[in-house]
Amino acid sequence: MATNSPASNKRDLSHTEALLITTEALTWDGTPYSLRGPDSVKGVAGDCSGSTWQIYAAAGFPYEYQQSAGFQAYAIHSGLFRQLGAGEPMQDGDILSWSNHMALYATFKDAPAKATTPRVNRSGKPWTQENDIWTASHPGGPAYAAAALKYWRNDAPKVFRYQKDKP
Amino acid sequence: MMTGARFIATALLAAAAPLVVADDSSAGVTPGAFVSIPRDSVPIAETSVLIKGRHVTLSFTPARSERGKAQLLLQGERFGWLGEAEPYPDRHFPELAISANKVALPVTESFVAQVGNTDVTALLRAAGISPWAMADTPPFVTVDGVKPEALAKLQAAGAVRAEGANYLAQWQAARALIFAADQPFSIDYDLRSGYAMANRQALANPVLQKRYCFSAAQLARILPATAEATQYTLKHIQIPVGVDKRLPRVLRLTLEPEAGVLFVATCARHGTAVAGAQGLQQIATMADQHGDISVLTIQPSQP
Repeated sequence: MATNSPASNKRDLSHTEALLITTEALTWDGTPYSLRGPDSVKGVAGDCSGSTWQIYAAAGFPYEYQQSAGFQAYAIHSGLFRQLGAGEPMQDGDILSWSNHMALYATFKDAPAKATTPRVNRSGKPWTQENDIWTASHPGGPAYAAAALKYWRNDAPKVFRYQKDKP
Repeated sequence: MMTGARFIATALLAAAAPLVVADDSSAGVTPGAFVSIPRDSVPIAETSVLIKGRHVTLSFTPARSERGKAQLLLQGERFGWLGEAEPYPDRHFPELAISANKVALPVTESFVAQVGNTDVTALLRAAGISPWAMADTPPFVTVDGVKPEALAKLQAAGAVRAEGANYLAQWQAARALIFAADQPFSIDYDLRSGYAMANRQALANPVLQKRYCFSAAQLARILPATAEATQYTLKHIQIPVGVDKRLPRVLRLTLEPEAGVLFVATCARHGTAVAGAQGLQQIATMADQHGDISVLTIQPSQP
């Protein structure tokens, strides 16, 4: 597994580079959900793996398309990503990976209008969602949007950060 | 043995991982299992399954009817808060209806709520809190009108957690419905099918074909020829049809698929039942050892 250690020839994306990812993710906001994988199309329809792959490519950080189930193994062996350690702070653009889903971490400092979402839950109680991820949803679910990781799933993701070759 | 619902995701992933695009996926949810009260008191002569799009109607005809002597329990699965990513948070099937001759049957509804192995049912009842608050996101618990001591007991038991000015449900619950089964009755509910994505090449998975009793030739005959990389959405429909895991003597399936479905397959009494978009009509089908029937539908991921 690639690391950010001095012995490695890899370095993490800088914060400025990582913002390119979340800037691109913003342009997917409102893309309807459809289970399409690599055939996901911005503004038309897409799912989590397809949107993540295309966002990364458009931001200048390409990788080989992976379904959610295969991403973690690919990330570790490809040399393009490193897995963050427990408690290691996330940065914009980090990929949150579960066995059947992927999402992008975001601070929304570059898109403050998306940092919160006013909502009303089914019992009629209004609440303010504090967003920290960009994500597709599921069949029959809402479009690609900002969401709150703590309310997204009840299991923690593994987090992966793109790396580039050191100069 | 793996339940059918989990099979679809696991088999697709394990058997043909490089070929299968198993992205967002779900194992699906069924309303639960039927158990007779007293045990083995409701043999079913015939069960008809009608699946129309995403709606299911199960029609049961008991083999014998002794008025007031037999009841059925529909025991739902235990579940807790699953998050907004969950496509099926309402695992208690609130829309499920039980009727006889199109008249609603009286149903006794109950629930069991737990935090780990600790039963908190009585605490929730005493507080007057809906056990299904955890099916929403966030799983807010309405505490207006709840006595402070009752809320404190729930917090002490770990069933409720304070977060800022709100309280969140932390328990798991299972729903149980009991009704008289001394006459033919029907159960209506909305499907919560399992789903996964697969490319054309992955549909040739022999494990998949064996599970749903179809052959590559049947698939090729019905599904239009496409490139191997073409993405398809597979849905696994699992329907409980047995009582006490015993199967009815006669079991028939009619399936009118959702729009876009191009291929349907299920194991039938005489081998295989496959169809295209027109679906299946009154097929004598089979159930597995858990008393469930399983149906696979395939549709292109891109319409």
